[in-house]
Amino acid sequence: MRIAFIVQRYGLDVTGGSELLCRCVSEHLSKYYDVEVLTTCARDYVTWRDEYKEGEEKINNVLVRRFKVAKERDTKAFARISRRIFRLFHTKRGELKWLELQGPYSPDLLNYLAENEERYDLFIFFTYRYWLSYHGVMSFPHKSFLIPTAEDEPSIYLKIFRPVFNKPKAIIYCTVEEKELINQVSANHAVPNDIIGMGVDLPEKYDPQEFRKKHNIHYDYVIYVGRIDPNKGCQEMFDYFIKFFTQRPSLQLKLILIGNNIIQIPVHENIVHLGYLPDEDKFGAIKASRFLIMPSPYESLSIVTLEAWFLSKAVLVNGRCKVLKGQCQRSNGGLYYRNYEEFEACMDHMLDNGGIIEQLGRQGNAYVEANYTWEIIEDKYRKLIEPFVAQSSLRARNS
Amino acid sequence: MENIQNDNLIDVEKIMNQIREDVCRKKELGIYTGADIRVSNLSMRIPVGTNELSNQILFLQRHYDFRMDYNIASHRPLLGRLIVAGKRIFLPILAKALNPFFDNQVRFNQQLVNTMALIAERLHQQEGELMSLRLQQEGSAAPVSTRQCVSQGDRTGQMPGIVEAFNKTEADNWYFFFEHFFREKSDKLKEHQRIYLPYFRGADTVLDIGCGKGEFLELLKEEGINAIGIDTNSKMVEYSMMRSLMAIETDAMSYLCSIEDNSLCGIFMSQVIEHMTPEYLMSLLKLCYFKLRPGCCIVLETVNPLCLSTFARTFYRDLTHIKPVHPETIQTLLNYLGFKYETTLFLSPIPDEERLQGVLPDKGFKGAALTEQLNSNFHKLNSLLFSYQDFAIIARKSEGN
Repeated sequence: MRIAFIVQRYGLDVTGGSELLCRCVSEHLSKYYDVEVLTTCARDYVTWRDEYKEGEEKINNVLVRRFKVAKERDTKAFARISRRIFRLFHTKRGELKWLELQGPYSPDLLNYLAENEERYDLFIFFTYRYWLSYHGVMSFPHKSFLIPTAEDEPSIYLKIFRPVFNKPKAIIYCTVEEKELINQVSANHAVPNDIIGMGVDLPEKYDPQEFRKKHNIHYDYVIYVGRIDPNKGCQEMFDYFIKFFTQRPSLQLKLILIGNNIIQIPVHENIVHLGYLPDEDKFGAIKASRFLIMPSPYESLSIVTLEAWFLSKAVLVNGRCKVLKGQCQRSNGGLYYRNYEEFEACMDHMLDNGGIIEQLGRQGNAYVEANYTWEIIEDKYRKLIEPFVAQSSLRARNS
Repeated sequence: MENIQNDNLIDVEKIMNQIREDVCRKKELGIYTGADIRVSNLSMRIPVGTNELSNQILFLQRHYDFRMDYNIASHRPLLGRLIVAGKRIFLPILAKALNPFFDNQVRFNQQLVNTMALIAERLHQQEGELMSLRLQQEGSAAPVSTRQCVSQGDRTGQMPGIVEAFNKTEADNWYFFFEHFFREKSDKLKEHQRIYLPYFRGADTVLDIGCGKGEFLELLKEEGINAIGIDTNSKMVEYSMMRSLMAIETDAMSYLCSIEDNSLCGIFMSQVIEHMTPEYLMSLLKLCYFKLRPGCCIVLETVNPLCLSTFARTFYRDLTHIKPVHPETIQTLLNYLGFKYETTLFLSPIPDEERLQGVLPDKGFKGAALTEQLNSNFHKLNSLLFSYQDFAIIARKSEGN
């Protein structure tokens, strides 16, 4: 059985939630099926500039075929059309133009799919909002699965995407909230689906004491892991923490940030930025922290939250993000805030009750063990893929 | 998806309820100042599609005054007292010396921000007019058949006879156009509707029936409450969706029939029930009762028929209004259906300058009794004619059901 995963970018150095999801799932499923990844030569999701070499390569035992992007994104034109599309009444043609400018525009990849359709039993498309996924699902609905990785963002309300959620043979959601959102937007309740998400892996070696020693950290801290970006709620997090620290001058606590920053980090003695760290250090840092903070208002899964729970650490998340709030409610593994007052109250509650955060961490761990180990994830994928492929081949034989 | 539950469980929702109660108590005690509460709205990413410009201006309005407002504190455990003492001496001197130089700049900033706010308001008006023109253009293309029908009638020398009714698109366009001109602007409406938020705080899913342009959906979304709006007007739904709000084009009865009983944590209807026939309203409220979770709120806002001038001002302006609803009638109906009546809010008072003005008696004036009588009559007429333009009834589904 040969399966093609179609994703906008792919590579060991490509960061991004859905790209990571694609890489992990394709590597894990390659144990069972002949898996290929069809992607572009782009590394940067802003420009889609071709940076990887066109052609084939093997990454962690998975065959990757890369295709050129015919035109880079015209960022000015894209910003212009986005302003129009999301603010004024517009036509379907306008939305399709927006999609084309969004990219990655790679007709070569679509042509390859059309010419080699028979070679594959199934196409799995990642991320609904890109040009490739839209045209791929619309052109080959009879053998497509879609992993939308959707968030409550303006583009999901565009009309062109409603058929994209209704046409594929199955949809694989990351969370209950994502499913509810897409059901509400597109009324696609009838499409077969499952809520699967992604498994969590721990590195073989990680040591919280080693991390403290290596980075000379001898104080209590709350940790943030991820890109330091205003779109991830980081600016609000800084505002809140500075206010919180200012109101408690004797508090012995710091905020440690791990990840690359695209905004300036405020100079404050209680805020420490360690930059990008390898996995061993990252997991050691999470394990040694009091708890993890996840301030993002838009998340479709939040792997780092699952990782914190896997390490039995409690989390404090932005309650305005339905997915994060829902994960906390289902797991009983963390608290959530929707404004400064709730943030302050949650922080005080968690810092003053060591026993409670330990128990929340344990509950989070039980939730991850029950839902997000790779054995469970692989099993769920196989239960969805195998009956579909079996039915397709039966139909092909009969016809 | 497996949820984690066992006997020794710490229930996150219980902790969050406790936290929310603490926050409310602190707010009532005045522990949070305006600045504390405002910070929660700062630095958020403003999603494309919402009123980004007005948010930016709001931000500037909050920050145009950068004069030194110092906070004397230190994080250092040992040196802290020394640092605090130093700051106490040094900072007031510095502020006294520097603030006069900043005054002019602050005045300039204030003027600039006000000018920008004015430009934004004008822009908003222009956008509205542009949108209306577009809608008119769309509408003028559609009724060709109507014009043909009339002209054919003319040619045959007969009366035009039956003219085709507005089709759905035309009617939707017209109502969108009408609301744009005659209903409060979105920002003001949002402020007006903020009063209803406490009834839905902590709710999971709130249904806004007749959501219009989605102002209340936006408020709920900002509060982190899952909100779904329904409206039969396709243009309104499209407009809400463009603002990343969950809106569905459907009729209230059909939607409510399609969802499970006890599945909603709140129902909101603003300026909707006066568009319904009595039979439809009664059936709808009955259905609302079944779909609402026990203990959850229904809020019904409508035109206040106790204020007679509203008929001249607003009620009859809208062609789609069917019947005003008396507050006592709706209260009785809700009680009859099993809701527990909570309160009636009278809203949107008619401005004082538009009410009948009382007479002030001169000192030693002999006709004091007459003045008093006159003022008492003015008061009665004001209550009857110029009181509150709207009212809202709030009720809950009883806990026991």
